[in-house]
Amino acid sequence: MSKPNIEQAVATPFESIELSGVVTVGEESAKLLSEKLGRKVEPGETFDLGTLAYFHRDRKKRFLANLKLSRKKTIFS
Amino acid sequence: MAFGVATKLTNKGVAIFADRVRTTPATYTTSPKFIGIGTGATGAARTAAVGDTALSTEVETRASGTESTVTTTVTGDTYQSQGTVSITGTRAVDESGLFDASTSGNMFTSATFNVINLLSGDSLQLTWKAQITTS
Repeated sequence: MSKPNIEQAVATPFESIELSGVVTVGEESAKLLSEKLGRKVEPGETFDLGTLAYFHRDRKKRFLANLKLSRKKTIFS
Repeated sequence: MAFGVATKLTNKGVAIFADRVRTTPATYTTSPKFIGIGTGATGAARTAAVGDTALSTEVETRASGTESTVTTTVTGDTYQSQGTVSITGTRAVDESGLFDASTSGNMFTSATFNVINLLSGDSLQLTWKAQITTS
């Protein structure tokens, strides 16, 4: 029987935490977004914010998540 | 630490996980389903960390999330709380957390992110997922 690799076990993250969001716009935001987007935005329309933040050992995935947010962010900034 | 985008299971969150596996939880008797948002992470130059116990500047009323277990990798490996926070003013939202109470309470997860500018009348639906992995 081989020895368990303790070092490897300790280094392995055991959880992954993710947060994602959707905004349903009210009248004020609908008016502003109509001007920004150049089309009629109705109150009640939803905008997917994508994954807001994603911590994982896969850094590429985290980078892509952040990139997705920065693209979406222009709508609400 | 400089401000950044991050999500963390807090130290308290780890304790909540462990305690709530028991037949009868001894300390954390309410699930961490309450979703809070805040606007103070950027100003405080705070990046979500495991030692977080509160948001920098919490705003609005916490949403009591709808809980479920969902599948990310292995069947039922992910705790999920989804809820909607009603926005009552001009808000530059840049932080969120899961708590085990509608006010105050223990912080289970913490997140800081790029500002989302919202106005009164908007609704922000957030979905938190905490996955336990086996490898």
